[in-house]
Amino acid sequence: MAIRDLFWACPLCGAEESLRPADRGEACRACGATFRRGRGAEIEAVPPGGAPIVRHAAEWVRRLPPVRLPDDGEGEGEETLYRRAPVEARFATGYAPVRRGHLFLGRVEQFGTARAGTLELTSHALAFAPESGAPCRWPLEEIGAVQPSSGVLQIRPRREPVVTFRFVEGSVRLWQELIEAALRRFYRRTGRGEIIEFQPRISTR
Amino acid sequence: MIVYRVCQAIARAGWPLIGGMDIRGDENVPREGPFLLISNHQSVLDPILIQAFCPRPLHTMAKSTQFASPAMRWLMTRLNSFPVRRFEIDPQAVRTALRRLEEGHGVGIYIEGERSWDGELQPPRLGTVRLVLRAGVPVVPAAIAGSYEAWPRWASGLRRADVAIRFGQPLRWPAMRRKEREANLEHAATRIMAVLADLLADARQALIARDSRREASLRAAID
Repeated sequence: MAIRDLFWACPLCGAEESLRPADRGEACRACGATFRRGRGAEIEAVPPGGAPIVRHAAEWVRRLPPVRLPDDGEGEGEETLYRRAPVEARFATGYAPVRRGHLFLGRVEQFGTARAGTLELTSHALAFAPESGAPCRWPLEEIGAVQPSSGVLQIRPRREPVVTFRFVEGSVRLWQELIEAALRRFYRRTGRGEIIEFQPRISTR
Repeated sequence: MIVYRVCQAIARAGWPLIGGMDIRGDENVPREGPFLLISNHQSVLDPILIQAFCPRPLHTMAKSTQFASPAMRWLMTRLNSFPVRRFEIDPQAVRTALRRLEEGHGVGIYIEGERSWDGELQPPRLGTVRLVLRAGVPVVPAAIAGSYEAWPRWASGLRRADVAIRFGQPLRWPAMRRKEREANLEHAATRIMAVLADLLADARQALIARDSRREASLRAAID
């Protein structure tokens, strides 16, 4: 993972998903500031023409702009596109047992090969359009859980196996926040209640 | 148990090459009988360091993706880990944890369910709190600090850093039935997280005292 997974926006200029790999670190495409890991969990930022700024990661995170969804369209039932990103998706194909000797400890998911495509989040659904093959669309009410795991986001549709998405350029952390915000808004709008947990399944009060 | 002991010995002998270690409260880990060890989670190093320096062997709940390949399944199970699918309710993970406790072992769980992005405590997973209230065994709260500085989630490598681990005095709840568990859920979650926050603050203070150069940035993280 990288600093751009932590910083979904540049903490200096606020531009979203603007950090890209650069020499000895990462750079913001919008303002040109460079970021690299300092001592321990410190991150050193160098604005163009400015002096280096060194802060602990937690302090930088507090300076990030809040994640905001675009406003919904005003027409009833109108579907609003919130965000789109290139991803690699893997679909679970089954489960493998985990044993120690004769002792059964549980089952773990097995995944097929990665499929490149585009992930779209709207006011009504999450949709994956692969470069080849049939597209998938999960209405928001069909999403059962949202779980980040290392560098990927796991989405569990209610009646289907888990799907993982690796964001080719964007931040997994940003997408977790976006999908959770979209689900919260959808649950409120449709009178399903206030979401209190997204894992191991979405639950409301 | 051989693989576990060998890996534990390697971690204990090898960690001083990377950084210091400050452990307090290990007398709070029961010398015998079942217990749950509930910890915060900041880094991939946490399971290695907590299992290496906990005075009793631990059976740990680990995310299912760590068991993806046959080789990892072999290794993880020899390290006393068992899988949990975090994206759905996984009754087998709960059964395995309860069975280990019935056998008199210690079971380790990260109550936040995943590594912290910024090193701060995250909200607890309520499923873990339900397990605490169902099991009715001593709950040892444990806080680890400094592992985030050594290898935070957003970084690709290990850096030198001192680590502090604090084992707190056991918390006790009787085994409860479902209705009683739900009634006590919020209070138990609040209690565990408050104790963890205190232990984490103590661990961070110890690191600040060890390294005055890091004082400013660590204080910023605490504030």
